[in-house]
Amino acid sequence: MKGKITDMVQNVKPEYWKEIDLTQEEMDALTKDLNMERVKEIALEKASATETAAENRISADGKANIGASSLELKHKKSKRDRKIPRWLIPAVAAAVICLGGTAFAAQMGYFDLVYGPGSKAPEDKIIKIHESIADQGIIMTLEEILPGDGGGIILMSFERENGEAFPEVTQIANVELQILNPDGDDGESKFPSLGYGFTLIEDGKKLIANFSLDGGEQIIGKDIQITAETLFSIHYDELAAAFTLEDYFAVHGNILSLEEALAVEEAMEEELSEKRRQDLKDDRDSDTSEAVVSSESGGAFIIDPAAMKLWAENRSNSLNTGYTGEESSGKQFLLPLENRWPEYTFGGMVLVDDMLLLFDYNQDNGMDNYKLRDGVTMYSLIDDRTGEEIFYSGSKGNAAYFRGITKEDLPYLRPVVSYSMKEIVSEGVWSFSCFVEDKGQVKIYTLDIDVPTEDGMTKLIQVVITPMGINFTGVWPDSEEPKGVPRYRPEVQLCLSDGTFATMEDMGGRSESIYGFNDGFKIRYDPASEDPYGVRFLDSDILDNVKSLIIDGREYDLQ
Amino acid sequence: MTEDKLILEGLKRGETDSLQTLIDKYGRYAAAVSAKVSSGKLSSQDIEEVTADVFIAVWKTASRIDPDGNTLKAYIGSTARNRTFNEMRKSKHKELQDIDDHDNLLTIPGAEESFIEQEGARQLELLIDDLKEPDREIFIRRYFFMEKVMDIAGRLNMNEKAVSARIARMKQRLQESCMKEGAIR
Repeated sequence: MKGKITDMVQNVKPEYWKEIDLTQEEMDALTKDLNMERVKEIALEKASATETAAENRISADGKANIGASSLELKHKKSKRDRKIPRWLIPAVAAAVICLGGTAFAAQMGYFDLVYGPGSKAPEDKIIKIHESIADQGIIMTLEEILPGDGGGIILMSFERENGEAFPEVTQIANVELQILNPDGDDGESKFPSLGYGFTLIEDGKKLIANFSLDGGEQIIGKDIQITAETLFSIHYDELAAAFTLEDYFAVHGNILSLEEALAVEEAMEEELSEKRRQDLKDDRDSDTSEAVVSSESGGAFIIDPAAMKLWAENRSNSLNTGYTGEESSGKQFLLPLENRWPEYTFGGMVLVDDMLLLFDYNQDNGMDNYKLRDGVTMYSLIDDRTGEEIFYSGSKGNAAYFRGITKEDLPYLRPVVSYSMKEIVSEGVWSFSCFVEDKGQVKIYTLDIDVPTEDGMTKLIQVVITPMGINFTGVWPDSEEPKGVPRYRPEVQLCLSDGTFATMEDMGGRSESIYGFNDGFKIRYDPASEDPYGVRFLDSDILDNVKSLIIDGREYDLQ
Repeated sequence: MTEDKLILEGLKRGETDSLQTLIDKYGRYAAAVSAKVSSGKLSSQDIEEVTADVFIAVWKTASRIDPDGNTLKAYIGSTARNRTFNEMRKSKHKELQDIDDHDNLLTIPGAEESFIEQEGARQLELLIDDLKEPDREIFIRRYFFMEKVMDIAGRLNMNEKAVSARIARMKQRLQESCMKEGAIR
C-alpha cells in the first residue's frame, strides 16, 4: 500500500499545528495582494445564505424535499430553533433544551429531540430499546439505535438515581461498541469514526448522549454490546491576576536584553548549526532589533525554537524564571483560582526586549483519558489603562508570547488565566447487550458503472443506501497500484418511484480493500441539506421507494 | 471565557457578528497560510475564496469544535492548509506533483485495510511529538506548507542535501513506525 504524507497531514489533529505561526512581516507579504474585505463579504454572504436556507427548511415544518432548490419562507424561527446539530457531531449546548418539560423526550421522540424535528429520522427503521441499568448512582438507559452502513447512531440517556440535576456541562469519557460473536466471545470493536454529542433536558436531570459510529462492520442482524464509562463535568472559568507584571518582574527579574537571551541561547543550544549561530551573531552585531526577525528564519516561527526551549528549561534555575508561589522576598503571586487548584504550577514569565513570554501551567492531572485532563492556559493580558484584553501574538511550546510589550507597560498589565477543569460525576460502567433487528435500514445494490475520471477509469461496484445517506464502493480496474480516492466526485441523486428526486451531497471518501489490498475506495454522500446546522436523514418514503441512481445526469436502475 | 470561546459560542448561536469578529482576528492569518501553501499557484481570487470557505467551515461546524488551548488559531490554520491543498488537488496543479515525489510516498506492505486513513495520521502525530529542531521546522515546512527542499534549505541556511537527508530520515522513521503498527494490528 502506498500513501502520501501530505494526505496524511490532513488528518492530523489541529492541536498539533498550534505552534505554527507566521511573522507579521511574512503575513503582510503573503497577503499584500489580497482583498480581506472581499473575504469577509464572501464569507458573510455565504453565512447569510445558509442561515436563510436554514430558516426556510425548518419553517417548512419538516416537509421540505431534499434536493429542492429553494423553499418558501413561511415562518421565521428563532435562532434557538436553528441550532440543530449534524448527526456526526456534538449536539446543542445543554442550556438550549434545559427548559423542556419532563415529558419532552417522550413527546418529541429522541431523534427529533437530538437532531431536530426536520431531520426526518425514519421512525419505522429505528430500533427502540428503552432499557436501563444502574451503576455508581447513575441510571443509563439505552434508548434507540438507527443502524447504518457499518455502525449507526446510538442514543442513550443518563439520570441520577437520586433525581438530582447534572452539572451544566456533563459528558461521557468513553463509549465502546462490540459485535458479539455467536459463540459468546466478545467480538472486536471496529468503528473508526465516532462522533458524539450531549443534550441536557428536563431541567438538567436527564442527559441524552448521541454516538455515531461509521465505517465499521455491519451490525444489523447481530448481537452487539454497548459500554459507556465515566461521566464527568467541565467547569470553565477565566480570571485576571491581582498583581501586575511589574510586581512580578520586581521579584523575579526575568527581563532580558536580546544580547543576554542570545548569549544564553548560544551557550546552551548545541543543536544549532554553526552557520545559523553565526547568522544570529551577525544580525545581533549589525542591528539588535533585527536579530529576532532573522532568527525567525523569515518563516514559520516568531521565536527561535531553540531559544524557547532554553528559556523553558531554565525557568527554574539560572534565569530565575520559575514560580514557586513564594519567593525569598516573601511576596506571593497567587494566580486566580490557584487556591482552589494548587497543584497547577505556573511556568513563569520572561520579557525579552519587546516580547513577553508567558509559560503555561504544568497541568497534567494524571488522567490517561485526554478528555479528563484539565486545561489551564494564559493567552491574554488585561490592560488596566484601557480595560481592554490583549491577546497573544502566537504560541510556541508551552508559552504564549506577546509582541510590543515594553517595560513602561508592565505596571498596567495583568495576566488572565483560563481554566477548564474536569470533575468526575460518576465512575460507573454501564454495559448493555442487544440484538439489532433488520428493519430494512440498509439496502445494498450491485453496480457496474464505469466512471471516467482525471485519474483514470474507475468502476462503481456497489451502493449502500441507509437512513444516513449512501456509500459507493469503487475500484480502479486498470490500475496495478492503489490510487486511493478519486478526486472527481459526480453529482448524485436518488430517483424515486413517484418520479421525484433526492439530491445527495458529497461527504468525502476513503481507501478500501475490495479484491486486493487497498485497491478501491468508498465515497459517502449524505442527503443534501440547505441548513448548515441541520441533519437530514433519508426517510422511509425515500428508502423504500428508490428506483434508480442518477450520476451526473445519467440514470442507472437499481435492482 | 476566552475571546475565541466567546466567538465560538456566538457562532453556535448563528450570530454573524461573531463571524465578522473571527475574520477580523484570523482572516489575514488564514489567507497567509493559504497563500503560503499555494505558493503562487492559486490566483488572489482563489485564495480569497478559499479563505472565506475556511470561515464558513468554522461557521458550519462550530458546534463540534473544541478549541485546543482556548484558541481557534490552530483549527483555522489547519483548515486553511487543507482547503488550499484540496483546491490545488481539485484543479490538479501539476506543481503539486513536486511534493508527490519520493519523499512524500510511503510504502507499507502488509498493513491492514484503511491503515493510512485511520492510523497513518496517528503515527504522524507521534512523529511530530518526537521531532527536535530543526527537523520539526523542516517537517512543517515540507509537509504542512509544502515548501520545496531548496527553499527550506535557503530559509534555514542549510545545505540542500542536508535537508533532503533529514527529510529522508523522518520519512524512514514514519514508514517504520507505520509498518510496525500495521504489522501488529
